[in-house]
Amino acid sequence: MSYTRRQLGRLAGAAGLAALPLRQGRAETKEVVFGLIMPLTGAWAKSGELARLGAEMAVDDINAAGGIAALGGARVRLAVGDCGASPETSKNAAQRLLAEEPALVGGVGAYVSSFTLAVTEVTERAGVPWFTLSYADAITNRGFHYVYQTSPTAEAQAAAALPTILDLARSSTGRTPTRLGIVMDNTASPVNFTRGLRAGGAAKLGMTIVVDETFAPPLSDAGPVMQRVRAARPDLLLLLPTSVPDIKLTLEKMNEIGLGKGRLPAVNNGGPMGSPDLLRVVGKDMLEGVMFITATWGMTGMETLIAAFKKRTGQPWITQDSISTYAHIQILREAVEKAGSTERDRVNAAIKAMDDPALAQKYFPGGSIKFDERGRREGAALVIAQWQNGEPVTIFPRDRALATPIWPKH
Amino acid sequence: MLRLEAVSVAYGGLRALDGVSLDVAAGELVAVVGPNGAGKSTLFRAISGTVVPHAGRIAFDGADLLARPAHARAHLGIAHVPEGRRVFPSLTVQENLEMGGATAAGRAARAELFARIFALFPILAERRGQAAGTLSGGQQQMLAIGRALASAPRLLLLDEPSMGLSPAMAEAIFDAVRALRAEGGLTILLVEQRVGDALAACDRGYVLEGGRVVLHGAPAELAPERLRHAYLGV
Amino acid sequence: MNAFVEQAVQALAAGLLAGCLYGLTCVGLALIFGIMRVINFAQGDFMMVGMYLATGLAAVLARLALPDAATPFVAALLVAPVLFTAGALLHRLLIARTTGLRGGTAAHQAQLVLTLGIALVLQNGALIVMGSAPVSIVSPLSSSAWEIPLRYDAFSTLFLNQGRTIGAVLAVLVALAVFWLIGRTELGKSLRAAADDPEAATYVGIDVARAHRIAFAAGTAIAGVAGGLMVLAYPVQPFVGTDFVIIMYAGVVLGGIGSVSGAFWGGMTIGLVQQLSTLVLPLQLQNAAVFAVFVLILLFRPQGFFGLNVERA
Ligand SMILES: Nc1ncnc2c1ncn2[C@@H]1O[C@H](COP(=O)(O)OP(=O)(O)OP(=O)(O)O)[C@@H](O)[C@H]1O
Ligand SMILES: [Mg+2]
Repeated sequence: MSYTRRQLGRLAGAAGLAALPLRQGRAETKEVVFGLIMPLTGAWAKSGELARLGAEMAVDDINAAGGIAALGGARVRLAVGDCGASPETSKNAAQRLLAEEPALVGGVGAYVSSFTLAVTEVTERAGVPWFTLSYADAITNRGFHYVYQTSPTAEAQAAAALPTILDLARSSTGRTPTRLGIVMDNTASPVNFTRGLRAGGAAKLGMTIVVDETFAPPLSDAGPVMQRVRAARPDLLLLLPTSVPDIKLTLEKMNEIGLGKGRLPAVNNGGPMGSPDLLRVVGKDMLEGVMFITATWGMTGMETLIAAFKKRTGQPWITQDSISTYAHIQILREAVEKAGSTERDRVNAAIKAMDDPALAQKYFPGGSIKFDERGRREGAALVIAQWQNGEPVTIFPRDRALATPIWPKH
Repeated sequence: MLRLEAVSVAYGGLRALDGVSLDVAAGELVAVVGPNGAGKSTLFRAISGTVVPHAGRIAFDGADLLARPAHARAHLGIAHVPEGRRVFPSLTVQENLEMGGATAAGRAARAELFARIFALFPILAERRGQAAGTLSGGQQQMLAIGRALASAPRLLLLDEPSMGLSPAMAEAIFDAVRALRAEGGLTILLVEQRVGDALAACDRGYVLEGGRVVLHGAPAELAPERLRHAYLGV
Repeated sequence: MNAFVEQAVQALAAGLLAGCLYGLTCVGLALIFGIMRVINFAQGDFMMVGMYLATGLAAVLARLALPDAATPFVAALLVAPVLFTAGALLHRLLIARTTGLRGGTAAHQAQLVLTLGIALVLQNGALIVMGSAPVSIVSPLSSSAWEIPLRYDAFSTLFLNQGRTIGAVLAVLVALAVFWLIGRTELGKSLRAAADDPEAATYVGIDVARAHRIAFAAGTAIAGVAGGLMVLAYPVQPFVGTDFVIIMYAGVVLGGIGSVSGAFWGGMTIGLVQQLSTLVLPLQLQNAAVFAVFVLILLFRPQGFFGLNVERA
């Protein structure tokens, strides 16, 4: 209590000095500004929009619960920037947000790794603590001090993915798949994801790569690719196209040649595979049984959050995008509470000092809200979700799963 | 039948026709001669509408021709065989003729018109299915004339039909023009470099130079020395 | 060995099916670019519009008593009148202003800028109206196949995707209708005449502006129908046109500029090369193979398959 009062006094003074006399700088009404930069137009707009929904909900929840207690119930406001569809526009968006919001305390964004790299160039220079769900290792390889990744990095994901899937297979069927198939496009994400597998990673896990097909998107017909898969008879398929049309074509072809609906377990990588839009494009039947790896998804312990989110937004389920930004805003709130200040460096120091497994449990599959010196979250783990009856549900880790996996018992 | 009054045409700033007046009576063959660049082709384009005069009037059968869009004039009975033949190269001979014959008058009498064209130019009948672009120059000229005739025109504009042809072929084309005239019923306005032949065949002639009519009258009045004066300025 | 034969037959079938649709898109462009010589950057975007329209129409039709299997195809065909009208209006209001300068580089530059502008307006308009998320017609046909056993052994099977097969058949029928229209009817002949020589066409009484408008509108409508047939397999998003516009131009050039039927075979060639190349080359080189073959063919036959001569190409 005394802490708060001291805080209040100091803030009241600061506000009175800094500004202006329009009304008495009363600490209780002081505003805390968090930023969000997401692709709200262009090809990634849907994910950006979902991310925005998560952040907005977090802000409303915080304010409904009385704002930032340490700042006398200061209210949180979300300042939104659209980073468009390129790293250049992302950088501009970051510069604009910083110019328009001098009081910015921290922020989240910008979904696509290359956008995040551009945005954080700007925010790092301004010393704004910044959270992202982007995977790229480069984001936290630059010696930056204000950037935090809550997802496992791409390399970490690649290394953890196959063992995680095999774990799941074993726990579902009692048997371990041995014949691995890979179908992917030649974009950066699947290329990085599979590199280690070919360089001995698969073999080390007792798997033989029986079919390995890489195509240049877009596919005009998935026939030739999937025919080869059919001929090679893998018992686990990494199905890694990144664009929706290619996802649709490959899944439809799988179905057409009798490998669909989970008959050949197929795993994709990345949250977009669980987008509600996919249902409209690909259809429920095609998606049935398809699994994907993601940094977080709706899990046990998140029931209230999920229900509130669905009610509030009308979305059919919550995705990684919304959960992550919701979490990021909550972590920022926690840091501001701890710092008792909106000063960026104090907030940043508070983030670095955090170690809160309970908070992590609320939004992520594992670890703690604790960041290493590079800004990577410790214990960040993977979730596997599976399309079941028109909805992607978490099936791994088992203790957080909302459904049991469908896995063919060959 | 056709009357031009003080028609002037300019391309950009360049004056190609300067107050040209000209009359063609029904059934006449009228020749227009003059040096290169005199404006003969421009005169024809003004009549068929692909250039628009900035001054003057053109009447066809007493009606104001300038009020009609260019593509409507073919349907009034004016057929233009342009300089350089301009057949439709990717269409067959038959299709070229059908295009010419798409006027109401042409459709009504298609069989007779085609028979007449093929009688005049038997080679066209042989080459019906051949793409016009692959015909020889002389054959293309025949086709261009045939295409015009297929519309059952009342006024035929012939722009240098013998241009670029061998003397023998030019002669054959010219024979065809004479034959058309002999058949009667067709009014012809002819531009021709072979001045002697043209004047010999025509009822009246106009000499055009620098966009003006410098001389006109019956062939006899267009004596060689006066022509030379008009052409060469001596 | 048997597996290879099966794959070869499958690739051939896939190539033919893709080729029929590519062929139709090329036919649409052939009318606009090949015949009317309008450089149209927006052709792929007309297709995009057709894809959206077909998706929307299919949703409407699904509520009517139409058999489920027929809706995607009826929707695709219904796109034609809508886009024909739109194309005619577009031509009258905008494109006609550039074809007036016909022939010269000035005209082509004006068309380039104008159609690029139209493309941008269509893409961004679609982004605003439809959003960026891909949409598609979801039909069981697109994931069901007719299975044709290959007689040389007990298990090799040719899978003919039902949606694609019906789409390809319709594409061929539409293309045949266009060939008939262009090749046999008086309207078609007058379009070709107007394209060959607009001035001479005027002399035989053809309204050249109208002919150009009809050709442009028909080309637009065909792009739309092709898009409508495509959207069953290929989801639409606002920028999908750019995936196809290169194939269209390549097909038209392969077939011989000015030849409408040639354009179909040009598109067919691209489809076949794209799929058959997968038998001998890594999948990644699928599209590279298309352009290698493209360059090779043009090296030996610069006028394309059906081009009359080099100047016209
Ligand atoms: N499209 C055009 N643009 C600009 N100037 C033109 C055009 N057509 C013709 N001219 C000019 O107009 C004048 C008349 O040309 P026109 O073709 O009518 O002459 P002509 O008497 O038919 O000549 P020729 O005997 O060589 O055919 C010439 O000076 C020519 O250069
Ligand atoms: Mg001339």
